Amino acid sequence: MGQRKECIAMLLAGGQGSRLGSLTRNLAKPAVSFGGKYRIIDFSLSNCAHSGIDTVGVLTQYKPFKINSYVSLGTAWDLDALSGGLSILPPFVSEDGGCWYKGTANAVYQNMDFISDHVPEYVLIISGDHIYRMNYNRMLEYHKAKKADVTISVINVSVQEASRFGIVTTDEDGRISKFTEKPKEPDSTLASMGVYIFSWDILQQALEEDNADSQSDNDFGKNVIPRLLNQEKRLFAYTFEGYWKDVGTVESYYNANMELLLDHPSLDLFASGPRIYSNEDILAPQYIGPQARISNSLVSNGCVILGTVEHSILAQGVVVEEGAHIEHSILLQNSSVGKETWVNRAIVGEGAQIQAFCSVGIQTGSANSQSGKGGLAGITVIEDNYVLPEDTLVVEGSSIFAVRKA
Amino acid sequence: MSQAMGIITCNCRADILRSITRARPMAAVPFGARYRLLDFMLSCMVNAGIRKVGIISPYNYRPLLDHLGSGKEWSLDRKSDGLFIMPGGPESLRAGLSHFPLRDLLQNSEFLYRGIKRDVVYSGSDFVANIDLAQLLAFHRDADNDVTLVAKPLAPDDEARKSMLNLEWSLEKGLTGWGGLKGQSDEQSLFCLGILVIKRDLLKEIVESSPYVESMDMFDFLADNMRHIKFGVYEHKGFYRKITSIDSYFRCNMALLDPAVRQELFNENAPIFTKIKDNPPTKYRFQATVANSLIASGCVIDGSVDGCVVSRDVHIEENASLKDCIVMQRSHIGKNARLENVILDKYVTINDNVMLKGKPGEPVVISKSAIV
Repeated sequence: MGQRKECIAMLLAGGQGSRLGSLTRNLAKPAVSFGGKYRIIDFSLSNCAHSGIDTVGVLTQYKPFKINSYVSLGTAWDLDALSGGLSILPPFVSEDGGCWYKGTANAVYQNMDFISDHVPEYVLIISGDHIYRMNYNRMLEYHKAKKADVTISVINVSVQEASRFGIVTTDEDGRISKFTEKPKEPDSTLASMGVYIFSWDILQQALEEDNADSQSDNDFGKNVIPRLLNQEKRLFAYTFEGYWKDVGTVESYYNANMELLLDHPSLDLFASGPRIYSNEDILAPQYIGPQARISNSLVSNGCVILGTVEHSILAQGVVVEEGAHIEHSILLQNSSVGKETWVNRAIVGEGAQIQAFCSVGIQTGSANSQSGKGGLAGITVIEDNYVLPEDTLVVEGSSIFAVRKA
Repeated sequence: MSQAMGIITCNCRADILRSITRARPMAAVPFGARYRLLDFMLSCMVNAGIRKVGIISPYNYRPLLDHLGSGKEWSLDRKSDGLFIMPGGPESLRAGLSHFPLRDLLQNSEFLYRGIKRDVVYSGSDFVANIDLAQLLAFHRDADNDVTLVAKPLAPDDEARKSMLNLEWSLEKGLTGWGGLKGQSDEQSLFCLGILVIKRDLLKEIVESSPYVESMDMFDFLADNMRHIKFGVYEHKGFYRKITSIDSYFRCNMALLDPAVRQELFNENAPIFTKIKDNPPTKYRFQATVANSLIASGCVIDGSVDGCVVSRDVHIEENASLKDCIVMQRSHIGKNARLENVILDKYVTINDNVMLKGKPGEPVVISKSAIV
């Protein structure tokens, strides 16, 4: 038995994020690069660290290599604690076989031994897919004050957006009376952020019951929460005020990145207070060449910029050669852009090389080009490690990736 | 696992950079937008597989320890071996021309007696270079030298010559001595770079001759015992700059604007490690015009920057203009300020409309936390 912890976190990091297309073809969504130097999982891990939660189980499943090596021992987030600390929890086999994680609730169910080992009073369930800064302690205080069985963190969304989320209806006291996943006609605009605090005994019982139900999809939002409401358990909504984003699609990913370039972005990476930690490689400072022009952009360590960069985000180690022109684009780690190449409204994957004299993101001028093909809204995506040869033209909204042999 | 251990002495003369070294030892002087001078030798050792490094610290060690921490960034936070911080004596700081004062070693001789390493890489910390120590160690061992000195020819007008040992060395005779501090010789003559490899047994022997050697420099001892010691000289062909004055500090920083120098110093196979600060990427705003500059992360730039080295978390407001400047971390430059040939230490605030201009070769130095 480990040292007793008041609250431990279970971080769901196994999602594929299939709507992110080429961005998640080789890695899980929490490992996708964001805002230049970060990966999406940095936000929830940093939140844990800054909320004093030092025991975090990271549940992985889909293409875990990148996330395993990136998260490592949790050192970069101060989560290499003497007792507790960070543990990566992949699916495993036991005497009766074992299986893949079937849903969010099943993933936690399969790791109940990990939780009981710490004898917590409360379990925080979070996802590695979301971009936000949050002090979980305040939510825990609220959970205790309300003597709640479960507290769900919610955020106010617009009526139009509401049908994309799990929507919560509460009474005056904040007690939840109704929880509907993706309602067609929402009767509230309080959206679940996928952040839950459970009292451990309640969670234990709920997961056992969920597992016994053969009809269940083993999902917190779809199955566990509604069942607890039916049982008239004390479920409360904690209203979070601040920035929270689930970048589910290429378009929302692109927009969330680009918002960082506003004068006063809702997510201010430069705000005073605790910083977002990340497991960064120690690279040389960025070099801006004599002929370079750069404005309204975020640029990370290790970049070498000899061309023009406007309204773009450059992750670590990006090289932009002379005469290249980058605008409204996101260049991920170690990608490069050759001489006299033009890149517009594109997401260039990690390690991708766009060679000289290419044009990426050419507007075709047709009326429907802005809406784009495949829902990319005119955003071009180049898969990680793809090599785009000299003189290639890529029409806006394309998704360029290597064809895999079966 | 390397058969060598490392000792880096940071207890050296530190009055040459004026206010920059009033606040800190040479080893902890910020350099190249995100490094400290010590990072270079420490990273060289780590990159050569050396996992046991002793740092001889000066009395004003706070900035040094703050930077090193447990040695995590250099992978030196280990169960066996790792990073050792050892106190140096105050006398060594005053001995302006000393290289490796033995007193500091005697005081910490325990460090030498533990473990089984064959050789010790002994180095100063007042220079910038990225040297392949694995190659040096192979050379030292293949030749079965007792001592191998790392050397390099220096240009006749290089002011660093004055503070370095001029080796008397020829292909036929090998090393026959060193001319001390003459600094007057032809272009080919080799100067010792303040880095050597010595067999640990010999180093122990030196320590055991205490108290006879107590006030000596290691080079004095080696000179006295020249006939009994097998010397080798290893020429470092790459970049090496010793920091000897404000001017050389300034020029060495600016050398990083040369792609060839960066290529060599910041080679991905032999990275220079340093403390991580978790700052965001640098934000270039609408009015930023930046050219030929090295910029660290966490900055917000809305002014003009040309030929500068800018450290982490620096804010440069709109219409401010910086030319040929070194700006250390967390400094703030106000609107319409004009700076040329200026070195700003950490946490400096330059108010709006301030103009500061140094002469080439004689930069203005603004000390830590100053408000101008």
